[in-house]
Amino acid sequence: MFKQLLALSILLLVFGAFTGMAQDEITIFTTVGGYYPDEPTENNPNPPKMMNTLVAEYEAANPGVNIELVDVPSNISGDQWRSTVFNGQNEPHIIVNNYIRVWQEQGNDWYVPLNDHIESPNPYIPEGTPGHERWADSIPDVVWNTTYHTGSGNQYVVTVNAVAVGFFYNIDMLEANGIDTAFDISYSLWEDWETMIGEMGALAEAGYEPLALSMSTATPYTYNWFDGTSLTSMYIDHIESWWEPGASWHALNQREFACAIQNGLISANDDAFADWLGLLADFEPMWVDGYATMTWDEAYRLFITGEVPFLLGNAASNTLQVNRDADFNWSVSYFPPVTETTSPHAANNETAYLVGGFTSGFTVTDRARREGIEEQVVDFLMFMTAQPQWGRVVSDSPRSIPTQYGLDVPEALSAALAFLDLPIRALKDPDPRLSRRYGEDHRRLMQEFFTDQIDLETLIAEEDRLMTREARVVIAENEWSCDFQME
Amino acid sequence: MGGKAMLRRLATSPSGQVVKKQSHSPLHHRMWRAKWLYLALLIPVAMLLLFEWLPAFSALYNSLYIWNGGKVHFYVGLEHYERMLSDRTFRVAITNLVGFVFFRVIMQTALPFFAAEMIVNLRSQRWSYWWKIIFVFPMVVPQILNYLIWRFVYNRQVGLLNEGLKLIGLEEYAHAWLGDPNTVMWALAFVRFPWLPTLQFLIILGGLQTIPQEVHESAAIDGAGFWRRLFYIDIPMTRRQITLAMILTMLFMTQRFDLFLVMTDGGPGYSSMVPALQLYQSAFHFLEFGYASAIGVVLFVAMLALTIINLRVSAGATNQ
Repeated sequence: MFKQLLALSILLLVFGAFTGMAQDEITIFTTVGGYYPDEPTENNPNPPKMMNTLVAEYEAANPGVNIELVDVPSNISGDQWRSTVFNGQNEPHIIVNNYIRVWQEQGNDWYVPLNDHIESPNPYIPEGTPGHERWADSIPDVVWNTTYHTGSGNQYVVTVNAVAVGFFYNIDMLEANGIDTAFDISYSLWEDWETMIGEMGALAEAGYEPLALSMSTATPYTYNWFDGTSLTSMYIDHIESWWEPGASWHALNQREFACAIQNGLISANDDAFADWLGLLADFEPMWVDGYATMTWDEAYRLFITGEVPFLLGNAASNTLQVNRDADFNWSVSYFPPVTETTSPHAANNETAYLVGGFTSGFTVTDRARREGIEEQVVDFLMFMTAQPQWGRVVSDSPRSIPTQYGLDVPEALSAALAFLDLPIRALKDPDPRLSRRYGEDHRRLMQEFFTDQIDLETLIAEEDRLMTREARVVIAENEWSCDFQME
Repeated sequence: MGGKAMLRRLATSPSGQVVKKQSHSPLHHRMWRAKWLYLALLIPVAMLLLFEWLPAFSALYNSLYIWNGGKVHFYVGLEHYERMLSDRTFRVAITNLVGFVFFRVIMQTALPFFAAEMIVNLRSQRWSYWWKIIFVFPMVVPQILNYLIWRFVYNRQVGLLNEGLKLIGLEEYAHAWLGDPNTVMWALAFVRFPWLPTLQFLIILGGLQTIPQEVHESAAIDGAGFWRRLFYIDIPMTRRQITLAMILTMLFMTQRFDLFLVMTDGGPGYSSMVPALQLYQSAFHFLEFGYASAIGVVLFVAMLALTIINLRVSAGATNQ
């Protein structure tokens, strides 16, 4: 019996090996971000499924090429998933990833530089449409410039989505409490940070918890959004001196921020940094009880059930959700600018900064090279992101604003368009600002400060230690020179 | 005489003791005859070595290296262990763990013991059977589901706990239990209340059931009540089972990170951080597999030491 079983196992192994070897078809595995086709349900009998259509069209036009949509497991973090699939050399050929992550992970040689590919013509873009002659021309320069600053000079990400964050607000609730719901400035209910704190404070005095947000690591972790934008405002007079030579306004890359710390251009001991911590400490009493471990879904429930007047969310994808669920009048506003009223360090600051923008895009992974199918994989990417195809995807599932020239913005997302005109925040979320370790420890330190576990002095000392250590680590790991800031 | 009876007879010595059947063929001949069995055994052993032992022992090796799970891999000696000494997160995590494990070891041993006592003392076999089913049933509920249910219990808006407090007029105490550093560890310690883990319960129940009925009857004749019987008969005679239950609880609770990950992710701040969660985060969030391995090694040594101490103390008490 054992002999037979063993023989059968060997036979199966040999058969499997031969069938694998005999296979000459190409299978391209890809993730597609928020655009997976949904299964029909009773409430949603016609869910978005354009990706299936695109795959079928491409496979029909390219016999021998199969496209497999790979689901990223929802029960593990994206970082963990990528670490697992890349180290197991089982990564999909195309991965949707945040460009900051790609910057952080470029040292692993996980991604294929797309510099030459984006200079090539894209045959799937109709003649006369930007991008037909040169693929890169289908997307505005501002997008490429945002995702470009890798330090290596390589462009790894094709970004076809734009998003912005915002404060969703319950108009009925605000008006019932005598709060004006007309915008003070073109993108915000409030002309400055202090006005916002004042109005939310009035709501708090009336017995409300004004703002629902999440400071837990469960996605999306919305606290991060004003952490970066307000810190940018506080250092507005200095940020230019942190840039790499020749750069214009952009989201700082790791190297620029790490070098600024190492060169003493920013420190937790700065007055501006202390003012920033004070700004956040003044804002924290406006947040709902339990924000530190609350998921965004829980925060959302507080807003949608009319318990809190404000919710910090994604002004693109969450708009559709609020539209579906809210039984009250609502709208969405952006952060107000931090000005001199808040701190002398923001005296020259005139605007708020965009949180979001061109965050996620398609990357081609090293697997395409290992398997010698880079050209085919890039061809599929060209097909999928070309305006005729991507326009259909966005119409089918309007989750974000398409970046390509010639595509219409879905009506439901038009409010977020005004926010996209703002300059990008120079200081991103704490995590991509410096390192994952910094992002995580910074979040926990801020939580300890907000929940009175540590005082301001301890927070500053711990932040200083953390920033200094992490800057040293990332500079050493990447063997960066920081001389450019001292020239 | 049936075949089985014959075999028993052949294997029994004149004094009635069961003896080993003597084989006259050399060991290698017997092994050769059973070669297919050995070969079949080789596969699971190889799997065990590859997937269980190798990763466990490779942690010791990796703890001496900086390793990002990918190409970055270089020797740093004991640097990770030195770092651990000055790591505030690790210190907080150890403090949280000690309190949590202490509480849960007490609860997860004492309450299963009382549950088992109750069942052993039931006169009705039928009721005894059903109570066992009731206590064992939670074993089939996936752990993660339990955590999600408890997360819901603590939900600040619609949670059972806050709703209960409102119902009995204690509304001022209703708050975000998991979001408050003063209550979060207690909230986590109460997850799966009333702490009747199936395995520990069955171990202790098994111990209690092996106490001869005559001992209890003699005690009853001597006038021993429930408490005297408990402290002078049941606890001493199930000391080994109690020790095993305590060790298992200690090991399970020390290794536990899923509870903390799902419920709070170690927050707010570090107020519910434990070493196993820090290990997980170091490895998979920060790709510091070397440091994660070092934490794993320290946890392993600590658990081994505690287990040995526990066994020695228990053996000493039994000998007395």
